[in-house]
Order: sequence, then C-alpha cells, then structure tokens
Amino acid sequence: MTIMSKKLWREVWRDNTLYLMMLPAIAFFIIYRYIPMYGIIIAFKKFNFGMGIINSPWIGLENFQDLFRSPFFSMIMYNTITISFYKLVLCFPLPIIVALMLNQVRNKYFKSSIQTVIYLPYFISWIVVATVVYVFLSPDSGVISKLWADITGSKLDIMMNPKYFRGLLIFTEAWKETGWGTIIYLASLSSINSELYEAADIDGASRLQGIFYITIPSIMPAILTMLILRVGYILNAGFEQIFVMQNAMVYQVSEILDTYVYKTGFQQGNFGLSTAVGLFKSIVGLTMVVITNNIAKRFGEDIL
Amino acid sequence: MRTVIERYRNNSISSLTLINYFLLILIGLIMFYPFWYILMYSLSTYSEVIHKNFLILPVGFTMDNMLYVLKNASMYVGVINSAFVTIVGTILSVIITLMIAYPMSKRIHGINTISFFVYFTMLFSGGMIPIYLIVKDTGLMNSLWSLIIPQLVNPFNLYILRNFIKGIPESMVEAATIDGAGHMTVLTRIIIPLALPIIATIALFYGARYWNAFFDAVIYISDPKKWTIQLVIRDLIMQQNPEVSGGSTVTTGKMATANTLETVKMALVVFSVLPMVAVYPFLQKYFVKGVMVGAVKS
Repeated sequence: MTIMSKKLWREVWRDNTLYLMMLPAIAFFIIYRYIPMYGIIIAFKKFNFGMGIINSPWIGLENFQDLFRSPFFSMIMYNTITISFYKLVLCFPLPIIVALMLNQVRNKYFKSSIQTVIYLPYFISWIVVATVVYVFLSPDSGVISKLWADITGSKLDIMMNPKYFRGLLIFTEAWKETGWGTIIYLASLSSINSELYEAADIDGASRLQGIFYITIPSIMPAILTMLILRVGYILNAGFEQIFVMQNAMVYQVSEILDTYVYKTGFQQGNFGLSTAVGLFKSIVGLTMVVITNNIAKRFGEDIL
Repeated sequence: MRTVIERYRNNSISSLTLINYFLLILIGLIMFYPFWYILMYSLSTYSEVIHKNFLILPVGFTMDNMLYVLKNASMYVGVINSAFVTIVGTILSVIITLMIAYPMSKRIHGINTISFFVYFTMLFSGGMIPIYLIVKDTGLMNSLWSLIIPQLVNPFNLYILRNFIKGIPESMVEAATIDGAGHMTVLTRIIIPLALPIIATIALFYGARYWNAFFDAVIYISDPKKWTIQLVIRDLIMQQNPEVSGGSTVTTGKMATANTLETVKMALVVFSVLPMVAVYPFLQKYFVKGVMVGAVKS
C-alpha cells in the first residue's frame, strides 16, 4: 500500500505542471458552478438578503408547496412543455432536411455560399432578432403589417396576439437555429463511404433511392443522438428568446419555467421560491437526460 | 432500351436537382433578407421611410444615420464595452480552456474524476438565483468582468479541444519529450500549432457568446456607462414600445434620447451585427471540422 501510494505520488509529482495548469479552470468550476449548487439550499429557506444564505431561517418545503399550489404552476408547465414540444416537432427535422438538400449539391461554390448565409442568424443575439421582428411586424410601422394592410385592409397584429405568438416563437427559432443545426448532419454525411453510392448506382438505384436507402440510414445514429439530447432538455423552452419577445398581452401563452424564475426572483424578490422553481427544473432536467441516455444506450448509442 | 431508361433517369434527376437548387436559394433568401432589410433601413431617410413601404432598396438613400451613430459617443459606448468583454473574454477563455484541455487529454491520475467534475456542470446547475448571488459575493456586480469571469470555461468547447488534442499522434509528442521538452514546451511548440484551426473555432464560439451576451448583462449591469451594445439596443427598442422586449421593469437608462430615429436605431443594430458577420465566414471551413471532432464520443 505504501509502495503503491509512493509510486502514485511520484507520478503525480512528475506531472505537477499538468495539474497546475488545470487550476484556473478548476477554480472557475468550483466557484461559479459548484458553490451555486450549494446555494440551492435557499430553496428550503426563507431567504433574507441581510442574513445571507447560511443565516436565513429554514422553512422546509414551504417554497415548493407555494409553487405547486400556485394557480400559475399548471399554466407555466403547460406552456413550457407545449412550446418545447412544438419546437421539437417543427424545428428538429428542418436541419436534417436542409443538410440532405445541401448534400445533393455538386457545385462546391454554391454549397458553401448557401452554408455561409444560413449559419449567419446563429451569430446574432436574440435582442437583435427581436428588433428585426419588430421592424417587420410592428402593428403600425412594420413592413409586413403595412403590406398586409395595403392588401387586405385589416390590421395585422402578430406580436401581441396570443393566438399567433407561439407561432412567432417557433418561426424565429427555426430562422435562427436551422442553418447552424445542419453542421452536425453535414459532418455525419461527409463520413459516408462514397463506394456505397457507386455500388447503388451500378445496381440501377435512382438518386432518391440512394437518399432513402443509404443516406438516411447512415446518418440515423446522429439523428437519434440529437433527438435524445433534445428530449432530455425538454424543459428548456428557450429562455432568452421568450424573455426578449414576451409582452403582457401574450403572457398567458408564453410564461415558462425560466421566465417565472426570473420574475419571482428579480422582480418580486422572492429568492426562495425562485430558487425552488429552478431546482425543480434542474432535477426534472437531470432525470430526463439520464433516462434518455439510458434509452440511447439500448440503441447502442452511448452519448454521455 | 437501356439508354432510354438512362435518359429518363437523367431527366428526373435534373428536375429534382433544379427544385433542390431553387428551394435552397429560397431558404438562403429567407435567412438573409432580414439582414439586408435592416441595412437598407439604416441607409434610408427617416421622413421617407415612415411614409413609404420599401422592400428591397432604401428610400431616400443617406449615410446620415451611420454617421450619427459614429459621431455620438453615447451610441458607441456600448460597442466599446462589448469589444472589451469580447476581446478580453475570448483571450482568457481560450487560454484557460487550453490549459485544462491539454492535461485532460492525458492519462494521468485522477483525470477521470476531473472529467466527471466538468461534465456534471453540463447536467445540473445551481440555477439563476444562486449564480447571481455568487457573482454578487465575488464583487463583480456592475463590472464588465461579471460578463467574463462567470462564463470563463464552456465544457462543450473544452471537449472539442480535448478530443482534438487526444487525436494528435503520440509519436509527435514523444519525439519532443525525448529531447527533454517539458509539458509547457510540448503545449506551446507542438500542441498549439497543430490545434490552431480548432483553437480558432472555439475562439469564435466564445467570441460570439461574449459579444451576444444579453441576459447576464441585464441582471449584472445597471450603470449605463457600462452597458454593452445589446443593452443599448434593448433600451432603444423599449422606448419605442415599452411592452415589447424583456425585463420591462428593469430600469432603463437615459442613453438615447426619447426621439432617436428608427433609422438611427437600425444603423446601431447594423453595427452590432457587423463584427460577427465580418469574422465568421473566414472561420467557417474550420468550425465544420471542429464540430465534427467534438461530436466524436469521448
């Protein structure tokens, strides 16, 4: 045992530069990621700014009772899951389709130009997206609203209409993320052995058959992996996006867990309740990720 | 007979190809049009823009809006603050990520524990309030550092880099080690030059994140002198339409005068998008590769 540990220490000492190099990053993770995990105890306290985290009095599960009894809770859960589900169904397949389309393009210059253009929206912030949406859809001055008024004579109000707001969220999400989402599939497509296509060609398969019998099965592992990850994060309905686009008129269709955390914490100053909501979300999220990863393992896709 | 079939096949291919090209161009236009539109809007004269609806070319072409933004310090104080956060943040993030990615690519004692230690932060988070409290307790409130230090290392970027370094042939490193080079020398002389494309990729990811940081700025920065470009933009939209855009009860500053013209606002938005649009196409060929390396399972 002592020989073992002596050997261990000798090896650790030999590599001391390697361990020292990691220190700044490790310090970062401890201070800004792990200490906040300890801060979760606020969820079980009546938090008082003056007393701080440690001295604030314990109140057990009261914050959670407040949350689950709140008339807003079912609305918030419903919105979170609905918005997330719509995004999953409508936005998830788009990058796959676009990647397949790009993969058919022979002209290299055309392909990379389209790629450059469709990645572009990924690199701008949601607040800029909100500005652009405003310029297009503002009921009075938006370019599309004006066009609509010229053609139909009626007023177009998408931003403040509960009926259309979720549609707007899904559309802007698709606009911003679709292009970027193609990257992973394009990477996966580029690794398909071209001999497969040549063989299929000799057998007289059409190009469409090639897509359905070779291309799609080849990228299926990538699709499943992305799908499972996406399902694991089902409670993330898109905080920043909703935060910048939400307004009082569409509150009841767009208030989600994360915006509720923000409002209870920063606007109402109820840090205990806010942290409890965050913890609820983290625990459900962690469970979902672990479950989906186990499902993935059954498919032989170890993603974690 | 065979040639007939072939011709038929080729015809069907070409029409499909045509539809494919057409749809891709359409998608490209949908993605690009909003950028074009805000640029044209910012090049229009305000008095004409409110009366005329334009779709493609500016009405009453003018450079005044752009010049107005460039001449008004209150407009571009946000650009300067964002530039500071982005440049300093990206440099620090890349260095610190490299410093942990290299040891993590080695089979040294305890490295699995450290890997899990990093990985767990992707699964579970303390949440908004506890993180806010630690930022406050570490004295970063109302400082531009609050946008840098709490975001220093991103596990995803770390994995991309670690996986790439792992893929570097052991023989290249061994040759240097035999010559008596230490870990520092190996890192700076061998690893960094080989990993440059991937380093450029993660620098872009970090840079985009710092430049576009919005929510953190909303909760940590209240002093208008320290506003980032994203906060300035939010302020500009909110005075136009108080119901729109997040955090409506967060105090708004008096950075822009109440009657800032819509066209001037768009000029500022153009400036806020410009750095990303200018930088990223040059790195495009690297990051496709970078994401591929990162996607390889650890």
